[in-house]
Amino acid sequence: MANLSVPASPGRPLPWPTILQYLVFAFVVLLVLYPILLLLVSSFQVSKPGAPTVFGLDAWVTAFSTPSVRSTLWNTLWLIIARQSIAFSTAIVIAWLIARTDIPGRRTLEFMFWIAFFLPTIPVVQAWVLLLDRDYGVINWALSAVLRDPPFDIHSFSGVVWVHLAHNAIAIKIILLVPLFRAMDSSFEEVARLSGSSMLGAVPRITLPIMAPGLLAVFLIGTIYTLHSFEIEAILGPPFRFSIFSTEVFSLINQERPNFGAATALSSFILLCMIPFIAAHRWITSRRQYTTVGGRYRGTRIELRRWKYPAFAVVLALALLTTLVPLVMLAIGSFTKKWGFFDIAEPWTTGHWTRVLGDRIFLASLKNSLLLGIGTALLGMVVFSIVGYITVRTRFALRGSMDFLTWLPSVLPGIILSLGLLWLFLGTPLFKPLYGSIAGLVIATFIGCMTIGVQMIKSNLMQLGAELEESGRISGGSWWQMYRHVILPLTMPVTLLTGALSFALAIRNVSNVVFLGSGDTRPLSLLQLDFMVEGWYESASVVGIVLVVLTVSVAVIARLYGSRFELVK
Amino acid sequence: MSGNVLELDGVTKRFGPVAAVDGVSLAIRKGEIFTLLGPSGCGKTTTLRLIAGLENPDAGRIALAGRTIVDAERGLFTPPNKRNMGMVFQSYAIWPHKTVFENVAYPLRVRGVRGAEVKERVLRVLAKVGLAGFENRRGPELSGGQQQRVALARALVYQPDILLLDEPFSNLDAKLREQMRLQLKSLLREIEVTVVLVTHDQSEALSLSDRVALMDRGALVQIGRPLDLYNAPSAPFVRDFFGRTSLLSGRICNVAGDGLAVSLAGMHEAVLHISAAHRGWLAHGQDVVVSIRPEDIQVCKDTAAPGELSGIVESALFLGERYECSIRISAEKCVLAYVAPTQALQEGDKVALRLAPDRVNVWPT
Repeated sequence: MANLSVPASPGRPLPWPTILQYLVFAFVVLLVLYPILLLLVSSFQVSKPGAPTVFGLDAWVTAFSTPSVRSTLWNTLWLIIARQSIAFSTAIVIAWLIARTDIPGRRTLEFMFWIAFFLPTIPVVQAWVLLLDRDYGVINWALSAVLRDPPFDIHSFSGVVWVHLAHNAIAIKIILLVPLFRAMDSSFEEVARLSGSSMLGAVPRITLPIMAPGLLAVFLIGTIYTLHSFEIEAILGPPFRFSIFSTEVFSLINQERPNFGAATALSSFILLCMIPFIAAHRWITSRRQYTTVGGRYRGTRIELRRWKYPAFAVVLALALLTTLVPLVMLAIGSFTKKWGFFDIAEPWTTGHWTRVLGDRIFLASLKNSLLLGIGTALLGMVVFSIVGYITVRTRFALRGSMDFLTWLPSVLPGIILSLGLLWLFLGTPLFKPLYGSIAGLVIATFIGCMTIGVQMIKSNLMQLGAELEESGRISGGSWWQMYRHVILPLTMPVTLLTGALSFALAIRNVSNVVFLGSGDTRPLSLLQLDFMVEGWYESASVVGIVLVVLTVSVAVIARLYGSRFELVK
Repeated sequence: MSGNVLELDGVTKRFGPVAAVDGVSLAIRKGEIFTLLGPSGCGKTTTLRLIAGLENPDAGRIALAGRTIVDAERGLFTPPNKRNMGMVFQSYAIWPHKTVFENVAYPLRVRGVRGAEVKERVLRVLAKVGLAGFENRRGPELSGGQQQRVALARALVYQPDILLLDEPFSNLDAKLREQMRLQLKSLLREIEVTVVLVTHDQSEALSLSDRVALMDRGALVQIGRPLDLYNAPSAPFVRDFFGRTSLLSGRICNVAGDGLAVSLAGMHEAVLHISAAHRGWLAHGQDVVVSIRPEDIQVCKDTAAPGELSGIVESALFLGERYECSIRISAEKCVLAYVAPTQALQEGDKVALRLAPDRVNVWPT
């Protein structure tokens, strides 16, 4: 009879599905939670990884007595404040325009911001360096005819904030806010107008309070994402001695005598600071969202009338700044003989392309990236499917915890995860071979795309409805036969999409792999970073374009084929 | 025109190439319950939203209490907050972040009413809709019927010139719907407000309204009292919209005084006698369509007398208060008839159908 009480657990009489569920859970714990705990614990260890354990506060004392760490924390805080205040207010206006007004080209504009969200970071940073560098930036060069001093300097705090905004700080908030604005029942506002409120009068008293939980959730996730930032500061920061916590952790490890203690203590401190934000976000999003009560959105859009085209021009300009402008700059950069020297007789060349594409180092990195992407995609498709199935369809006792654990990587800064994995690989003899191997990188990028992958599989399974497989079972097949003939064919399209997206996310990833990939296993993303640091902008442009093409084309194909599924949560 | 509260004159609203509302003109009298009825997509809700000011028409004029509030030619569009209308939305749109009291008080507050007067007026209107004691509840804590009454209280608290109701019962379950319909009718009578109601439900329209306007594809088809629309439809669309009509084709074989006889196609010697004094266009030998409503057919277990139809019960669905019988009267044709459950009919029974001559309508083919 026990079988009857758990109808959603196929194959319950056999013990092995339960064993499998626990094994998968243990796997997720090992990859997501264990490195983090290891990091926290080791920040209180005085000994080196592998050596006998001695506990102490030495690492924390060292970290907080280092002046650069203290200034790092202030920089991080100021960056969050600057980035969030500008990006959030801008994104609210644009998301509202796209979702609730008759602005032309709404779908295209939304799609452009989606592309911006998917552009790899380093190529974008590089494009802005090419535009706004004090000495070589093309805008400064163009203005040098009029002004004596170059007006812009990308290597400055405002330069960092600008690249954040123009890369994806605004784009990601728009992507999250548009569905929110769309979901709000317009009759809430309409009834306020009929009650006697003017159009603007209803905003503070009706619209914003109703939207408040959703807006707050987006604000919190934006704050958390700011802490993920690494590449922008790693490239722009050094010339003016600017670092935020992630680049500080990086330089603490990447110096002649790595300071593991201070790095783990700083990472642990940031992790502890994030807990209230993570908890608040989790609490808000898990509560019943009442924004959509009454739900039936009538699809009435506010007519902008004479503001229609001015508003369109502004939003389009921003969309182009975040997508086309960086890409065009990168393309131009890859064809210049020497960036910044536009006055020479023959400024253009295809030499960088032929040299880089034929280069052994480039080809090795390309191979690494492809292996990394394909490995992540394959591992992702298998594990995400199993995890998604367990959380949606079974009565597995720990499925709530599993759901939380698969969500956690989306809020963890990549650099912390990377450091935790480094700790795991170096400190555990069993995993030692993973250090410096492609498999180790695959694990890091796999964790990086876990949240979005599991989300996609889950929402797909929820749409399918349990009756389909129940009828498959009632027809007389075993669980495995049912899975092969019913679930697998029905979920295959979304599973393949998940694989494609994992591929794109893996090869654009930098911060998750930054401590793990070097020398023989260096992927394209790290190669471009190295080229940038060396000042070889033209070669870096070539690598950047290859990266952009690889990631964006896969992401766009995934989006076009999967537009009926929610790809971005 | 002094009795009219609201007048629409040639109001047209296009969405792209489609005219959702196409040249609608109507006048609504003070104190009446006026219903816009029609299938989904007929433009009734758009008409209501044009009246409310939530949409602006592409052509036409709207006047409220003799004052022009919309004139598309002159570009005059009074915003909804300056029209003093109340509206109950299909979703009720109870603001979830406010209590019942604050929901109802909002229109007063934006009108600058302050202090004790707000409380006094809110409590009075809540008592009127039967929600005394619910002031401190929040929207999501209320049942569907209670939400509807909060929405009604919020729309009435500022004594609007006109009350707009958009499918007010569609979110309620069947039993509650009946109950709320009765309550709403007596409440509206009591407060003597002019009401424009939108619904797709014919029984709602017929039972609540003083007058009904039936719409189809953006245009008005017929305006009149519920009984007139039901008994004297002016167009096939109106006839087919109300009730479940059976149509029989035939030819006029005799016209005499205030009645006529129709011989039915496919049934030799079956002749119907119809009183049709008002139908001047009818002439001997003309092909016509005869429409009969199921409740106007009397079914007897008997052989048919002259002027009656004979048939065989093909199916009988028991619905509790009646049987719905499909009765085959020829090789091609079945008619629908309602039969009392006391009349023990079975499938296969031979029956005679008696039709009241004044309840049958004749239409040109």
